[in-house]
Amino acid sequence: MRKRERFFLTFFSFLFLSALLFFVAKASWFSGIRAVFESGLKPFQQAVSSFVQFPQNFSDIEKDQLRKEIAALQKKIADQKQLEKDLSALKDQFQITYPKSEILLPAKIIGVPRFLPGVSAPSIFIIDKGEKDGVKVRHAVVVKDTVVGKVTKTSKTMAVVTILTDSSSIFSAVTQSFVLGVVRGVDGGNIVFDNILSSQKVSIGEIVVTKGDINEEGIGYLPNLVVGKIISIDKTQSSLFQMVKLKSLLDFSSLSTVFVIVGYE
Amino acid sequence: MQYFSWFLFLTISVFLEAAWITLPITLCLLLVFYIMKKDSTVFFMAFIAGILLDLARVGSLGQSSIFFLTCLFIVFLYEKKFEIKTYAFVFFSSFLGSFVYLFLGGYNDIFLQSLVAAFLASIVFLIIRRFSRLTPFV
Repeated sequence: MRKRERFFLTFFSFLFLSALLFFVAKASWFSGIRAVFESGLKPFQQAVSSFVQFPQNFSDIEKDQLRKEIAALQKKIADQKQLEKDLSALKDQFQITYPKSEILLPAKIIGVPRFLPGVSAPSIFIIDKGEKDGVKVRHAVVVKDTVVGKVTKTSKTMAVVTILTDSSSIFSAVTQSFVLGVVRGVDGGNIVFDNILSSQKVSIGEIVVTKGDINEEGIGYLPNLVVGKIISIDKTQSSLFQMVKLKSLLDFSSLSTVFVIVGYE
Repeated sequence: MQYFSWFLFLTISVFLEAAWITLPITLCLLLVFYIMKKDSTVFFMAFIAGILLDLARVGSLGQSSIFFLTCLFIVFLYEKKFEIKTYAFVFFSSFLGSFVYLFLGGYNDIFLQSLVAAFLASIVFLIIRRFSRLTPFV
């Protein structure tokens, strides 16, 4: 009976603490305390993210020292490749004139949780920039002039980006031939261009761009950001709308750096 | 030594869940640990693991802890009624816990992920059962 009482006491104590933390964490003054802990966690998150993206081969077990040297060199090569990738991403982005580089904030991806890593399409990214860097919810995220998604959650030092292939992503877009529609993410990492009347002409290979949904605070998708290209059109005689599928020009699984649009000019 | 190794495994699972995989491996590990040991220390581990997970995933602090604690408490309530140290219970509880967790989190492929998580939990249970007599680490 005493053991059972101890269990009840322990459970309710921690449940009470969790609930208290849940409500206290919503206060604005708590975000500074949270930022301290997040800053402590971030290096580990980055290390895990780097490790799982660049697996090392430890198959040589005969010479222990040689194996360690090989592992160290492989890590250096992986770090070098990562650095080259980051520099290349930055260089590519800042050669593009739209969006302007002055309104772009580069952010490293430190987490890409998904069901089958390397197989399933990701639906969110966790980036290493947050409120203290000027990131807000609904800020658009791009690579070059192509849409990645929108910021959906922020803390002081990190943010969650929901990719446009996620089923919660929905925004208006237009084709090169000025056909207006709605872009929606669907399960499985696909994108659908919806609400296109059957009578409207769209063609495979056509590029779809954002219409723009900037709000009064200057937050949202800028117009004319590339969403993707049309890969299939499904028209049926009896249906009012045609089903158009898009494919993004980006491979979301291979991204390591993205850019948050923190302004609108 | 045993608690230290459990904490280590839980910490690794938290970072894997935050950076790499959406499977609720932290929840499954906690369930297996509790089923094996029936120790109230697991409530403390659940609290800490939940906080770390919420910090790493930019979630509301405390929500994961509340869920983990509730799951463990439900298993605790069933202790008297069922024999819980069985593969069937581990599988079933992990499946149900994962299903609700993934549903509340708004993830895709909930059924498949829950199934995989339950299998993983059963494998961990098997390993811990086999090796618990051989080493003080589990």
